[in-house]
Amino acid sequence: MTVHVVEKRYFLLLSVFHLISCLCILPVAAEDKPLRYGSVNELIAAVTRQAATARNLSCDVVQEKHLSMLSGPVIFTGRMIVQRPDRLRWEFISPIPSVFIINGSRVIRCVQGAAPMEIDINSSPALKQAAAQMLAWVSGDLAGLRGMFHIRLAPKGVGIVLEPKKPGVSAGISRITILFDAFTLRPRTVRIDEQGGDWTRIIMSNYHINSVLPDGMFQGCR
Amino acid sequence: MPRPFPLYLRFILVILFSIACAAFITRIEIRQNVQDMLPDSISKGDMEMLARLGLINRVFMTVEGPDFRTVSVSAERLGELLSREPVFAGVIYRVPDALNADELSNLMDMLPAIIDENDLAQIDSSIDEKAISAALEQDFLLLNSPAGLGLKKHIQRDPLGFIRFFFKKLELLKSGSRMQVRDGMFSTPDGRACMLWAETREALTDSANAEKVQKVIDAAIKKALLPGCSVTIIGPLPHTLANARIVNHDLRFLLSLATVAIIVLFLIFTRDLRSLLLVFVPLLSAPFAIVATGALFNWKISGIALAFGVVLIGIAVDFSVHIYMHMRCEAGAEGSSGILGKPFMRSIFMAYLTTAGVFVVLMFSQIPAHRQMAVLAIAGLTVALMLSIVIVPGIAAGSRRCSMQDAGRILTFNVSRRACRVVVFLWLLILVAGVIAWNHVRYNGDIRKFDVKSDAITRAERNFHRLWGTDLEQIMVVSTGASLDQALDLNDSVARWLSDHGIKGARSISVLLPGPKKQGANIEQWGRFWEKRLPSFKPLFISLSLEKGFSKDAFSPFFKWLQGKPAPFSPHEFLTTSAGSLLSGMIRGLDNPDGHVVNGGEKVLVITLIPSGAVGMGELQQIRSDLAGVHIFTGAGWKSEMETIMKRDIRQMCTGALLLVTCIVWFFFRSLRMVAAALVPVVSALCVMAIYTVVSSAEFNMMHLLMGIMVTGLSIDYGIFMARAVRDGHASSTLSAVVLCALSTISGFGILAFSHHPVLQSLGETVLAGIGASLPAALFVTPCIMKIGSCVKEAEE
Repeated sequence: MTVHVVEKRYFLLLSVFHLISCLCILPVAAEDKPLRYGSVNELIAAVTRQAATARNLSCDVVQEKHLSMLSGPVIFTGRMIVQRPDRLRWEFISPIPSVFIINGSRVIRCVQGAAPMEIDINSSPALKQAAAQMLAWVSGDLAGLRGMFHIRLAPKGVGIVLEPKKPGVSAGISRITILFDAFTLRPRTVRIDEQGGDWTRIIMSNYHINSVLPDGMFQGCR
Repeated sequence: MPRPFPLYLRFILVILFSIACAAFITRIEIRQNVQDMLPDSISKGDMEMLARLGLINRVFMTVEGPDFRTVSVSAERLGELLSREPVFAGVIYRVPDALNADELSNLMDMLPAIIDENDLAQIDSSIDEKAISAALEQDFLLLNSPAGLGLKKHIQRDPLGFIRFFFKKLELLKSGSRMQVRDGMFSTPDGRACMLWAETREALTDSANAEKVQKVIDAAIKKALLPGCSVTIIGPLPHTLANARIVNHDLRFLLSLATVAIIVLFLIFTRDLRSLLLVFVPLLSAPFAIVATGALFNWKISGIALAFGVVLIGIAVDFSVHIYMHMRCEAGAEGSSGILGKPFMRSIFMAYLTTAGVFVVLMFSQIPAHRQMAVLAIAGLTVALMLSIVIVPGIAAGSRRCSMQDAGRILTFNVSRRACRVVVFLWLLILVAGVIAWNHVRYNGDIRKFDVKSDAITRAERNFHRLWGTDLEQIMVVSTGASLDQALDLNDSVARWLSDHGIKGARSISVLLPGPKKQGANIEQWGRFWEKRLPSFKPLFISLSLEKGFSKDAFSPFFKWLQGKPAPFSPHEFLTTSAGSLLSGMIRGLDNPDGHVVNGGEKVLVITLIPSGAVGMGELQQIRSDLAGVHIFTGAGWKSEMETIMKRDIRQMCTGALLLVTCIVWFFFRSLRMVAAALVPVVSALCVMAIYTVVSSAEFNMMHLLMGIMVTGLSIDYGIFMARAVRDGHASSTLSAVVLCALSTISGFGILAFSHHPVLQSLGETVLAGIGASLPAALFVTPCIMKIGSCVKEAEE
């Protein structure tokens, strides 16, 4: 796929995935007791305060897709690794191994049996804007999110609900719900609901913080 | 005898006359247009078209630095600053916004009109079981990747990735270029350089505009650049500035030197301060000449014609000098009364006719500016002669009378007949050498030869080529049309012609933006293709998609698209999209739909670029004759065309001038030997000019033509005066006058041979060689020819 196809809704999704990653990395230093937040600002402020403490994190990921264009639910499992300020490795192990890497301005996608495909994420102003937002999230400045989403507290549990301000550029997303671990403030589940009823859920567990990452983890798919 | 007007009154009257003429000068529009220097056969439409293509208004800037981040930030800041400046009509420093969802969907709608028979052949090979299966597997994985959610709808509509044909065609447009889009900026592969380009509102061939634009750029560079970055500029801007600066510097220095030299020469030869007034006579005639030329050319004169024309009028000082010397040394009692003798007036009139005659020949030049110069020079010479007759006797009357010894002290041509034979033999040798040299003279019609190319400019252009791989000598094939549709249809024909003739590497928007005719043909092929294949393709595809885990209706948008009836798209609308805007640089005229009619009504221009060397001149001529409305711009083509024209012009004009001059001289002298003697300096000048050009491995250019005409006009006067002086036996004052005239011309014009500017240098060299040869020929060969023949005897008798 050529870089020009990477349009706004794609950036939004990248942003969402980065948001997930970043929200994972932010509450690293949260205290070991349940927290209560009266407003979304308070919650965002809490996670933002933790921002500077983690250089990297990794966790197990289970992605569950319920799409009308698929004959049934599809579950992928794998691992996600995030390194500040701008690196992400999203790796599925089963049922089909594949890797998706964001390294600064580069996107690398590898599928078993096919040559790696590289895309310049910064090949357009929109992409650059998305990247700037990602950086903001990674650095803990979540204020930038308000430009794209209406944010409110989730009705149940500790979490937030994001609703796109401009549905036209949101790739049909109607809502993103992120639930945090009440103690650590790490994201536990992310659910993305689309207009038309399709939805995707990502469950994260088994976090590792500030571990030593192998060289070249964000350079290529191996 | 009536008492003549006092000198001061004559001066006052003449000055009033000049002022009256000068009042009309304000009506004249001075054109700074290079097309005035191009032959008529290179049509003005072509030049206007070049201007419309923006090539003479464009500034290309390369920002270089240690790394991409520093460079891109600097380039972006520079682009932002420049785009705010009113001197620029547009500044491009980054690609437009990426495609949005609607645009991607629109591109899919456009595909049937874009995909051609070659693409269909590729599609045919990608719709077998294996290929479909592989594509669906990729789609499944992409759908489940972090990018999947955003691309879901696109996958549903284009599971086999047909959109790749659009982007492949887009890639074709940058063939040969190393430019990459990175972070939205136009960057080199290593990221250490970014390019931006700007289009100015005013032509950059005008030095005042160029200075203004350079100031704006310098100020922006100062603000925008991060430490470690630098900017190089190519395009007409640095060339115009370099030319203007060198001309200003050289003219200031060399003309000051020339003025001093002329003053010293006049004082040495005349020993009379009043003789310096002679220099003002041509100057006073200039306003009339300018106004007369303006009136004749609809009050529009080329700046170049004006400058050179006024310089040419400067040769009229020769009339003043001859009258002055005659009045002082030979007019006897007439001198004091301010009346010129009839025989002398005959010579002066003959000199005027021959000089003006060569400029009449110049009026037949194919170059508009030359014609204007000719009119200006003729008008100036006429008035200058009249003023000389009115004023100069008055100046001479008040001067100390010279004696025969004064002139004799300077030079004498009292040589023996034997010595004369040697002189004539040597001259004949030069003549033979000259004739041989004329056949070896090379012509250069490249107007870029007049351009100063400093080391900095050469380095910048080489660097640009190295960094961007851009061929600066690309051939431009411009398809014109009264509407965008028409121009695009013609552009398609050009693309087809190039493809049929095996010409590779051409960059044409025809592949992405075909005209209505090609769109219709593509759509028809697309329809036939799928009509034939769909019955077997659809069941196969659906069964394979089910195997890969997709639902039965997952790809119904894809089949709806394939089965639908595609319609041609509007090129206008496509150009307003972000993908279309990438093509806008190849199209001109859309921003001005109502006006600016060029070459019989074509308004829209579509450009195809061909690498230089990929196609021969013959093929280019063929395109032009096969496809009406196509214009071709190539440096080599222009050079060759200019050379042919110039070669013809130089030969025709020199022959014409010689014939005309011979006729005039014959009319007055009615003697073969006198005519031969009078023509000696002209022939010598032309021969030595040719010999000098061949020996110095130089080439004849337009300046040689112009100054050659001037040298011919001056040299013939030397011959006429010398021949008459020898015949009439009053050679001393004529000798002084001829030497003074020649030396002052050499000082005034010849000194320009030391200029750093190619135009001034050519001009100076031509005068140095021409007058440098005609002076000794007039002094030694003319008298010898007179002496050897019977004419001398007749004169003595």
